[in-house]
Amino acid sequence: MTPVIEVQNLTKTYPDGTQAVRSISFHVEEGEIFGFLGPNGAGKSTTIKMLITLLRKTSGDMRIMGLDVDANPDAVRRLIGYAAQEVGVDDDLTARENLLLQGELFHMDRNTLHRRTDELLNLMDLAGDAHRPAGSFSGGMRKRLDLATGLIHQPRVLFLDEPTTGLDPQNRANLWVYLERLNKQENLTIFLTTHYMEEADKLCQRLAIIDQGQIKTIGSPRQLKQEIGGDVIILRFANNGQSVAQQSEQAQTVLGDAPFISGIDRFDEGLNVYTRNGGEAVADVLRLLDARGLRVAQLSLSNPSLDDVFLKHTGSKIRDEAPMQNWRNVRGGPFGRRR
Amino acid sequence: MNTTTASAGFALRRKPGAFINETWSLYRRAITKLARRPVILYFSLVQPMVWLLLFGQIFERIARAPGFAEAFGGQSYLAFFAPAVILQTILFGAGQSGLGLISDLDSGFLSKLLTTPINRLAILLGKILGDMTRMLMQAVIILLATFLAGLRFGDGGLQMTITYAYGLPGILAALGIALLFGLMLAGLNVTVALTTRSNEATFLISNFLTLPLLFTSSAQLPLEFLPGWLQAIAKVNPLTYTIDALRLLLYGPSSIPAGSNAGSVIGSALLILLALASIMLLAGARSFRRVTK
Repeated sequence: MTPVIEVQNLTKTYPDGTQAVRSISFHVEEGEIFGFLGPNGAGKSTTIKMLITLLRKTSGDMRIMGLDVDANPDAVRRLIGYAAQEVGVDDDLTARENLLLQGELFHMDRNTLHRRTDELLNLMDLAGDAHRPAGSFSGGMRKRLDLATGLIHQPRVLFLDEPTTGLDPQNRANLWVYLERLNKQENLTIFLTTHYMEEADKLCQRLAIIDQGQIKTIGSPRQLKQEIGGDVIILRFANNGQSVAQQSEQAQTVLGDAPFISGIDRFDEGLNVYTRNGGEAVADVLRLLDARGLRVAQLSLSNPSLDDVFLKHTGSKIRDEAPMQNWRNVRGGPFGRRR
Repeated sequence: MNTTTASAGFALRRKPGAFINETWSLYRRAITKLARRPVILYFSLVQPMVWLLLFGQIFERIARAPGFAEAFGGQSYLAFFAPAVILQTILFGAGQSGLGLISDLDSGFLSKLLTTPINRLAILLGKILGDMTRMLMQAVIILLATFLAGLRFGDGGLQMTITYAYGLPGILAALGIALLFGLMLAGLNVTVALTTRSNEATFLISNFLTLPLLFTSSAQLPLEFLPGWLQAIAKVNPLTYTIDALRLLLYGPSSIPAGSNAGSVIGSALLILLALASIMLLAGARSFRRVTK
């Protein structure tokens, strides 16, 4: 069967010479939720804009349902729905008017359009507020309306650029439920970009880790985490006469020879140490470091997370933005198990 | 648009009326937005009323001064000034055309429109037609207020002090010229807005142009009342041509400068406005295409 999205060696170089996307290849199967996980500036939005016909590629091949995107932009537009990071609804129009306008632009016939509008208002739990202007909606409701307007013409694939950026944790988790519902009830293929690991972990059946315009690895979240194997001990150092970098380097040398350690990755504030049984290894790790006079400022032990996968493939940690911070403080802390 | 045969096995053909339908949908959106913001509508109507009645009163005596009446075409200053208020309102309001596009650009609404299979120009056209509708409403209301302010109780009851030389056809033609002027400004503002992509800059530039354009024309006073250097500027100001055409169509040949020929006043106004409007609209469409590429 033809994949819904097929991308081969896609490249985008901006006129100023910036190579935003460097020869990436991937495919998305029907009914899949597929994600691009990467930091801001990794090339996620550029890729999505090329796929939804808003930006021209420099080279490579993009197909949606077998159609060459650049050669058939209008045909592709009928097959895709899109919700940008910004909420693209008209605040002066009611929820219903927003949906009807969008449907009219797809030249849907009246009956189908009205039936579909009711269907989406129900699906997104907006039926009770259908006659209120979108400007009076909460952030979560506006986002749901935005999703609905992107779905009015029953697209085969929905593109979401950072769907939950700017939402508080509760609304974010809420939106995930709606996305999963759409995926199941409408057998909708979803392509999304995110820099929230938790989102990628929770929603995506498969994901690509993207950094500096390149895909570093592709797989299901579980697969990717299993590749790391065992547990992760995260060591953080603080400046104490010796710089963090120096301490990290020394620690890496000391621990590098230990037989119970399967791998080490460095990040700005310290090290990720991979081991089969973290609980047993912690004491040994500390003893080895102590013998060299290295003091660990903070230590945590966890199962591998996508953050660790990211570090392993890119050499740096992905930085979550503010809203996630709250969750981290609640769930983990020094010496606690992370999310 | 060509017929696109998709390899997925279906043919897509754009229907001939598609562009009109798309423009109509987006025009309706513009009108709905206008109606939902009564404050904007209200103030865009109240402000010209204030101008009309205040200025109309302040200068009323000048138009009645001995020897001056002829320069004002024998009309009251209010009548003389009304076409100027219409154009001034259009000038002040034209910035809105650009501002709406910028907010669509910023809000992501435009991106959403661009992922629909519509003709790109329908977006621009729907917007501009919406603005023209607002301008038309404003112009009609100003004309109506002028008419009402011109009514007097005399011997035989209610009397009109303003004479409309060509009746309704003249008034409709004057509205047409005013709209053409508005179209030119909408094109200009769209170009400025899409080039600067900043609300503040668009607003500043459109306001910066408004007053100098008004004061270097025959809007406030007949040309012969202006100092020589200003007259020279006024003679190349498109506003002067537009306003002369409006006065002629409303009040007849006595309202235009002595010695000018009615046909050439209308002809030159149409020519200048059509040329400028085409240039501005092409520039607007060009910058729109650049933004939406």
